[in-house]
Amino acid sequence: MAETVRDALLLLAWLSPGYPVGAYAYSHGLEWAVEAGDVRDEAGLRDWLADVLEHGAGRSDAILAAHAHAAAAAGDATALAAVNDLALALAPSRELHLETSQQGRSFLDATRAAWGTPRLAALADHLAGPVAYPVAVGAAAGAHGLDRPTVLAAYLSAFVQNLVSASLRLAPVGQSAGTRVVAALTPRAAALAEAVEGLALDAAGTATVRLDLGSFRHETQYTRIFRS
Amino acid sequence: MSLPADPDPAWKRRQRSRGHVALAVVRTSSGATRVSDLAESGPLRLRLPRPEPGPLEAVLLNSAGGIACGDAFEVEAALGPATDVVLTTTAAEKIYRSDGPTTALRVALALDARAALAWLPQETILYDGARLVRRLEADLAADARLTLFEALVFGRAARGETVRSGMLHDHWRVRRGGRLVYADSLRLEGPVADRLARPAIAGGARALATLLHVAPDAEARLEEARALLAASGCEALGVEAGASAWNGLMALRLLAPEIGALRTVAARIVAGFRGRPMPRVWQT
Repeated sequence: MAETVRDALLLLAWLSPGYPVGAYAYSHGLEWAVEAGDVRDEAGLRDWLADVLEHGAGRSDAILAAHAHAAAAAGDATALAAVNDLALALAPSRELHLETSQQGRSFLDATRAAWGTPRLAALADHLAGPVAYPVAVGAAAGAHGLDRPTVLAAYLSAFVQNLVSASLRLAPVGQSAGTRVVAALTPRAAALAEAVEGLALDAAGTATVRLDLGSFRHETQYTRIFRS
Repeated sequence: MSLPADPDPAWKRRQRSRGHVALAVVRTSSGATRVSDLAESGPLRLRLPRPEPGPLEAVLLNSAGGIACGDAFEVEAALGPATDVVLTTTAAEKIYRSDGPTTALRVALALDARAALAWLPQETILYDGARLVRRLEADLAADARLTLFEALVFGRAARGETVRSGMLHDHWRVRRGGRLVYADSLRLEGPVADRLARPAIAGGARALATLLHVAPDAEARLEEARALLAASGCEALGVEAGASAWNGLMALRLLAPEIGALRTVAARIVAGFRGRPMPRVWQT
């Protein structure tokens, strides 16, 4: 099997909605944005998700995943732990901390059990506590030697797809509108994956302050179906 | 057509300003907090009012009146065991327009066992075209208590100014017992006012603030903080507000259309949360 095909198949499996990380339980602040009237239609959803992708967790998580990938590929458990500490500390609210740490732990445990290698096992042993999701994905991909730009592009497009799925359940848009949003944002996810390559860890960060504030307010939202 | 680079741009000919204050405090046998060491250089000074009961209140003064691009200012505070300090500033800090270089601000706070620090500067105002990199680092003993409040304003309200373009990298890092427990990196670059208009970014707000409380009882105080928010009049003043608590810390954020409303709400919340009036310089 050609290496690019192997990489693509692994990423399809790891980032599929069926992978046992519980991604369907998280809306990354979208549920509050719908409640507050910030996302009402297709254009609003596309603009909101574009900002989350390019100025929010998308870009920042891609930088963290890239550094986790590099540390894992080099077998550097200390550097990987430092990336993980930063990624967890950067989670801006109780619910967004849960979103990244619960999915990260689940991803690492599931991937180690099904696609374990001595290198991944050694690295995972150093991540005994909470693990941030982009760090878990980056570490597994690095330990398996997957091509980094491909991993980042796949990670970002899966992030967009998961939030579009959440929006369908929150009902501001229908199925075909959601698919158009995925189509519009996929090239931007790919461009972003290239743009973050080579950035320092210090470049992680976001501008999405109001999303963070909405995540605070989601904690006390009267009815909710998502954990974030 | 591209112009050749100016070999001698204005910013290279200007004198860079370097401001530095380093404060160290200890607890005396009578239980009071006293200055054990103070170093000041450049335009930065620290005013120490006459000792009063309660925490030591120190006020930072920038005698230059504002901070130009390329300037570097640094504040360090080291709190000995069981000391109690309030640090604030005499006025809002102005970050002037840049013709190239960035302004660098650094704050380094170290809190020994059972020390308590309230870092309550007045707001930082970014002029149109400002370029600022700010780093706030706090190292806490496991049982130390830190209350941070910082407000940012984009453009001078009196002039109706917006920050059409500029750069802000605002990095906060808080370590407790040597472990990173909170990190925040706010990054705004390019068309700042356009970005702030976006609903996920600031929804058109021009003033934003964060209150961060790191202490053994921080999570237990979330409901109290939410009650203070509800009673602050924030909704009537158009200020969006929320609070969350996790990992032994409590964070509260405010977004406001202008600084006046934000100051009013923030003063009520911070004073209520600390159970003390705001420092006197805040009340003018």
